[in-house]
Amino acid sequence: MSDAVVPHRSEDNAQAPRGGAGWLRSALDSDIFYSFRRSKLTMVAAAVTVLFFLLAIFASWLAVQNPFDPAQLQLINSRIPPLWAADGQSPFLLGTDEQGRDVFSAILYGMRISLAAGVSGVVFAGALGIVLGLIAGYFGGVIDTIIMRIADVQLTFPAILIALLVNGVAKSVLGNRLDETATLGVLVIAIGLSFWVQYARTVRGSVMVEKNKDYVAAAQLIGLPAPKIMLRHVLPNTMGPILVIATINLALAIITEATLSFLGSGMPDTMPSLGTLIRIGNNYLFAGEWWIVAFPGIALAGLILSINLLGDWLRDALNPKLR
Amino acid sequence: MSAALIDVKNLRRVFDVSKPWLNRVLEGGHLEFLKAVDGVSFDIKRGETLALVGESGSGKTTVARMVVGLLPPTSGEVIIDGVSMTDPRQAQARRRLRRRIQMIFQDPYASLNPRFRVDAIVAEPIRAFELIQGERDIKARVGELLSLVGLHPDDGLKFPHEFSGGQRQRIAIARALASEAEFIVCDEPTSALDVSVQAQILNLMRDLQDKFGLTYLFISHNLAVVRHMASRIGVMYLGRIVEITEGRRLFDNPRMPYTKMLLGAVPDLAMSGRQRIPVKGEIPNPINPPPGCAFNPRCPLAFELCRRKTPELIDGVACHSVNNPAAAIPA
Repeated sequence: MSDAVVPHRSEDNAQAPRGGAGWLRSALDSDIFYSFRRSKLTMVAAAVTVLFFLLAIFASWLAVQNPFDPAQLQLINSRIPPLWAADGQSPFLLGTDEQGRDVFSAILYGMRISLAAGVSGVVFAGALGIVLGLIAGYFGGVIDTIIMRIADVQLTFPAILIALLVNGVAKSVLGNRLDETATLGVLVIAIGLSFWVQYARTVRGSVMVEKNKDYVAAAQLIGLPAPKIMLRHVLPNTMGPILVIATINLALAIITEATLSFLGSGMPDTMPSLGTLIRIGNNYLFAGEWWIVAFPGIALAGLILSINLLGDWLRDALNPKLR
Repeated sequence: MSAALIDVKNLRRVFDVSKPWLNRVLEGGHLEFLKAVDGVSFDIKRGETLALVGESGSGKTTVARMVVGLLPPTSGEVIIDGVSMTDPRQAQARRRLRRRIQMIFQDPYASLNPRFRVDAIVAEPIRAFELIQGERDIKARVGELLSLVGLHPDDGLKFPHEFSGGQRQRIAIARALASEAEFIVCDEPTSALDVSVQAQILNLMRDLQDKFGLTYLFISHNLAVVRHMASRIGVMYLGRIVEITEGRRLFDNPRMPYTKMLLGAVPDLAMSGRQRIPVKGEIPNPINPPPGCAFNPRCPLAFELCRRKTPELIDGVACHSVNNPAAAIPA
């Protein structure tokens, strides 16, 4: 047996991961990376997601104009079809809309807004849900009941309804002071408030399992305060499922933002997100100017699909029962 | 031997196992309570090992958790080195005392945080009690502790899943020693391990006891393990101590019928061919224990008094037929 009186095996230590290179090697050796490499679909989805993120981040370098700056738009360039069509004009790769706004540039900038709203919304929802779930699961009793009943009530409303509600309230309270940036903030809060329940439930469930394990008792025994035990010991051991939910929720959050913008209670025309672009383009669809709505729609669909595929893969890869 | 380090007085713990309020109202039924521990008293002298043995559900682990303060007792008192673990007025003194009490858990796969490296696990009590300042000195101390339990100082860089069960238990012991504890509660520390590894861990624990003068409260269901470790043994049955005596005496001359039954169940070459008292029946439901002595439905010597009155612990035995032989049916 390996458990001799001095059970140290020196050859193991020679391979012990140390420093950055060792960390990278063990990451490349891991089961998750193996399952990633085995699935071509996942690799494509990851590539598309990364591409979209890069396009959004470097939008100001890639776009031919800043679609948010009215001074750069010229009406003479309005309604130009895509480059490959008969009337296409350089540099408007995907054509222009009725304002003379380059569709490709608008997609890049719009994607930036959409991703910013989605990521911040997920981070906000996650932070709220994790904190409430952690408190509910760790302390239990009345606190748990109050938090989880609120969550149950909220779960009976569709997420989009809550988002619409938050938006409506913000609009009537802030009125004209609601500029583009404030709208983005309201969207993030609306998304966060509609999605936190899932995080809270998942975290609560994992915490209730983890808190009864003896390593938590060992931490209690040396008198660590409850918040420290929750953050240092319990929380890191509940993060696996959270990562999966966050990935899948990112797609949902982007869709929610797009839906709100499409319905007109999201980003304004002056600072359009993908959803706003689709709403604008929708008006011109039957006039034959299909490119104004089609390309933002394709971009949104591609983004959502690839993020969802990544989320599905992550769920399967982290679930040992499916191996 | 000096005076008792640990003094446990009439410890009781009742769990509410009733159905939720709404169910009780709609379906009928009433409040139900489970007496996990019912009036347990013992003391442990400095440097001594007291073992508590008993079947599953006899309340051993509940006692262990109450003694270290992980579980508040329903009533009764735990006094460690003169400081009450339950008295709110002694919170200040208890905080200082906490460093000196540690626990080794049953399942070495659950008692080490899987996300921490071993050196962080062992260093945690040192940091929490601020015993050593400076990263370099903490690291040196962790290496020293790991060597002490038979691991290599470099093992600190690994994660718990890279170790076997026995090695993990060594890490847990190193963590218990890290705070320079004097009193260690061991809750079935070897029951999750292979027999061959059990002996190594037990020997390590005895060596450390001799070296540092540790005091152990040793919880086990395994009499062979207890015989090896304990200077005194308490036998628990359904939340009560039914016999408590010096280790050798318990094995040579068990008095309580339940103890005889347990000893009869120990596989032993010397016992082969001899008459055993077979273990019959099961531990009763603790929510609804039998009246009188809880052991009476299984006891071969039970008589009328046993079904009526709970026996007191007199001279280390709680049994009517031992303490009051005149009234008993001759065995």
